Amino acid sequence: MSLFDWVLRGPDLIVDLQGELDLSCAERAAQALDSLTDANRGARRVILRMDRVTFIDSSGIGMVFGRHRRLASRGVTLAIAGAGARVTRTLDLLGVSQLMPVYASLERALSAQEGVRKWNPR
Amino acid sequence: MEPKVNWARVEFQSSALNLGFARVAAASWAAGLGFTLEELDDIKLAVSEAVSNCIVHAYPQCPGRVLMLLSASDHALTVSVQDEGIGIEDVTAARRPGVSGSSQRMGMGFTLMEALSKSMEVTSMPGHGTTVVMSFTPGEG
Repeated sequence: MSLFDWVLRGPDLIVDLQGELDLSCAERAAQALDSLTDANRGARRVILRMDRVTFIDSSGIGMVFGRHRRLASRGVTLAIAGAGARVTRTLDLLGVSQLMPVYASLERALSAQEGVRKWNPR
Repeated sequence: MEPKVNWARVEFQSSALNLGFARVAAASWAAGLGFTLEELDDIKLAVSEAVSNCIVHAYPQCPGRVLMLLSASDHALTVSVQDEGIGIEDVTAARRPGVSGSSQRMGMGFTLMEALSKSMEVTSMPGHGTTVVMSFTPGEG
């Protein structure tokens, strides 16, 4: 995986992952994501876009889950959005949606957050 | 009529740089056996897990040899991934989910391989290496 694009949109830090997420890049991706989230501590939610992720295995999911635990410890939600059929199959096999929010698309992830705000106007 | 048997051997260093190659090599070799694209993706994932185990667990200090043996008989595919690494003391325990969680892979490698293949066998001799044999049949995924 090469360097990823990202954008801060209100409370959401949106990270656009791409390529194959396996052992060959898991450590590098973990470090890059940790640096990015450390530099954007105002974000309340980090959304990992996976539209352009072509392959993920347990090393890639382990990397994502490690970021989830790290962010959860400071009250930040990590979500996955837009994974294609292939990546979704692997997420399902590993039960990832039971560990963190998984949305079909970035749009769904963003509207889910708006829904939360609408119903819990705090 | 005798069953048609074909095979291929691929040998490579246990480096994460070879992981993508191993996946694609297995899937492209299996492509002629009647698997759907989804089934070929499952084979790729299973191979990725098996080879990742070699890289992380079998050769924790420095890279060693991985031998991937592909064989086909009557449209069934067998993938064997062998290493000459440190081996596994307790294979039954290692196959349980979450046992090798230290690797940051959730300890789910064997669980995934089992879910993706028709059958999986693990044999290991501590100090001598480990062999994982998985079989896949088209149209059963």
